[in-house]
Amino acid sequence: MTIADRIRSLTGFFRRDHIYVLLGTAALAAFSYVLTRFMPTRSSFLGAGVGVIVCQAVLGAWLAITALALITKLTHWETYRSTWWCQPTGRRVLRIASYVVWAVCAIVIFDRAVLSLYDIACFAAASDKRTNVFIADIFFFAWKGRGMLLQGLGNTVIVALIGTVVAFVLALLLVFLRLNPPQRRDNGFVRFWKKIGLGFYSVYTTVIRGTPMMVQGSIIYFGGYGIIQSITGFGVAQMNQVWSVFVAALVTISLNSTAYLAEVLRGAIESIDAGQAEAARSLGLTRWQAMMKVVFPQGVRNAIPAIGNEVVINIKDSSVFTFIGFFEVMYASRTIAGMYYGSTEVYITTAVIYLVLTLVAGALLRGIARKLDAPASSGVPSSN
Amino acid sequence: MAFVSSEAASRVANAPSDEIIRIEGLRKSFGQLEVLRDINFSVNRGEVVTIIGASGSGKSTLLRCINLLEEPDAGHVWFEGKDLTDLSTNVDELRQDIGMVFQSFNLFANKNVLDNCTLAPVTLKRMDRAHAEEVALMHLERVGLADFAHADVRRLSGGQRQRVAIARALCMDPKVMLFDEPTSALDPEIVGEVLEVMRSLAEGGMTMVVVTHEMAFARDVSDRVVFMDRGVILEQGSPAEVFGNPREERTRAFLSRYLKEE
Repeated sequence: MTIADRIRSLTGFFRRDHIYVLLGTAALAAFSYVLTRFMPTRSSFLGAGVGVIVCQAVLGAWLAITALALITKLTHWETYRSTWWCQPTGRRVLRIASYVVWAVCAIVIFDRAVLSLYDIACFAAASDKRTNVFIADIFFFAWKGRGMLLQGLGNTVIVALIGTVVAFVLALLLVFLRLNPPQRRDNGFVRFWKKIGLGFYSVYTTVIRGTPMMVQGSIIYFGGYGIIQSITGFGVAQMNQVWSVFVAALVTISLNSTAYLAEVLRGAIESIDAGQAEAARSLGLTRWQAMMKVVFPQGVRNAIPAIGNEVVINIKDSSVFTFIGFFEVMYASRTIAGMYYGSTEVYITTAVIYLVLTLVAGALLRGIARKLDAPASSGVPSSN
Repeated sequence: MAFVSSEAASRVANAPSDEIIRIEGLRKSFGQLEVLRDINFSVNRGEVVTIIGASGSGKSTLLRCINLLEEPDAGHVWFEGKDLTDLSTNVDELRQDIGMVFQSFNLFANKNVLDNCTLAPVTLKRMDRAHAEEVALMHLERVGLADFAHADVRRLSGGQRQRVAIARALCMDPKVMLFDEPTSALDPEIVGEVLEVMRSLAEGGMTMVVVTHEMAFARDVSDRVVFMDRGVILEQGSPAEVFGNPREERTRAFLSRYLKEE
């Protein structure tokens, strides 16, 4: 017997028997049992007395029953199938008993986890200084920094949403440069400008997609600042009004997203069957009419899931604007971390905020896509 | 290699106004592959011409050169005396008079049946929508699909799609209809409904050029059968001539293969 075979027979010993009823419930019961060992907090209704002891007894009993089942299986290896554990009566009793255990687990988890977290949060919120208890400090920082976090949240959402909308409009314009190659019947002048358009598209998408947005944001902010200042001669106060980090961030995310969305649109349009355009042309429609009335609407509809993904990506990637001092969620988190000398505790809150944002945005966008009868989105959007 | 029947040539000479399509010295290559080699060919008004031949013989490419969906490498294509291959010709305008039906239907997937039919008339003929819909319904009635006017094209069967495609082309009131293997993508049991529509079109006097593998249709409906082989027109004549007494050995071999199947 090789080692792999041994491991397989060992896992089979556990797995090929009541895996959900016995072992699954046992795992949950063990977890709940550990929870009962913690001290009850203020709102706890189980307390530390009889209630907890009853719960522990039920959970412990289930663990014992599971152990007994496994021992029986070990000792009656050949005849296990015909023992009580595998008879219909035994299975039914175990299943009903498992419901009781699940109910007890639910009570314990609500009492020792949900209510405890609530109490910790209340305690942390009422505290003047950090508690030096990890979980409590997560709530402490989140509560102390709630104003800044909300402001950052607003800025993140605004920049991501407006940025994507502007980028979509620009991408529509940009992609036409790509989809209008020089034709045999074009005159030299048109041909020349179409070639320029193709070149611009290619250079733009290559440069934007080949450099990090953090670098683009820095160049646009500082470069733009310098240029505008040298032209207008404004002082610092005026400059901050004309060329604020908010404007710079918005410009950067728009220009950045334009390149990605143009490529998304190009792919979606090129994936439309060539027969669609041919049929339109055969009826006498011009290249432009066939594109606008037949191919383009289908392409954009196919691109809707990818456009939604771009919104989600922009929500996450706007965090790089911390670097130029734009007050979004990440910048707010850094500020809070600096003010109260915390870090991990703060950034866990940051992660939760981004996760909730992207989940909500994803759900909304899927709803919109369904309304527009667009193909379904699949998987989590990848980052730029 | 080029072959123009003396009958066709004399018809051109006697009644030039009767000729609607004329092709001279047409050549087309895809990379190294020479698909059309010096094609000379013409179609008269009201004539039904079927083009037959093995796969890869250049039938579809020839058809697609007639409305310049395929740009020829050399040669000329005249439609009603206007040279489509001339770079100053407005091909889009001439295509309005040349209807085309494709093997894979190519119905606009973003429009319902009626909008498929009205798009071109409304866009190009400045027809108001109500009138365009009236015309479209008339043609849909003709192909037996008036009840499906507001249906999603994706819900139609292949045979229904192809009949909509025919109605869509007819809505532009074309002078010629080109059919590119219109029944090749259909299940055998629904080929008949499409051929029936085409047959009635032919009886109505429509000028038609049909690329097909339906030998019975070619034999019964067409005025002239053109046999293509390896990029040239090898033989053409009335169905009785081509089917009854083919001159070329290749034609005979091709036909015997098909007629055996039937």
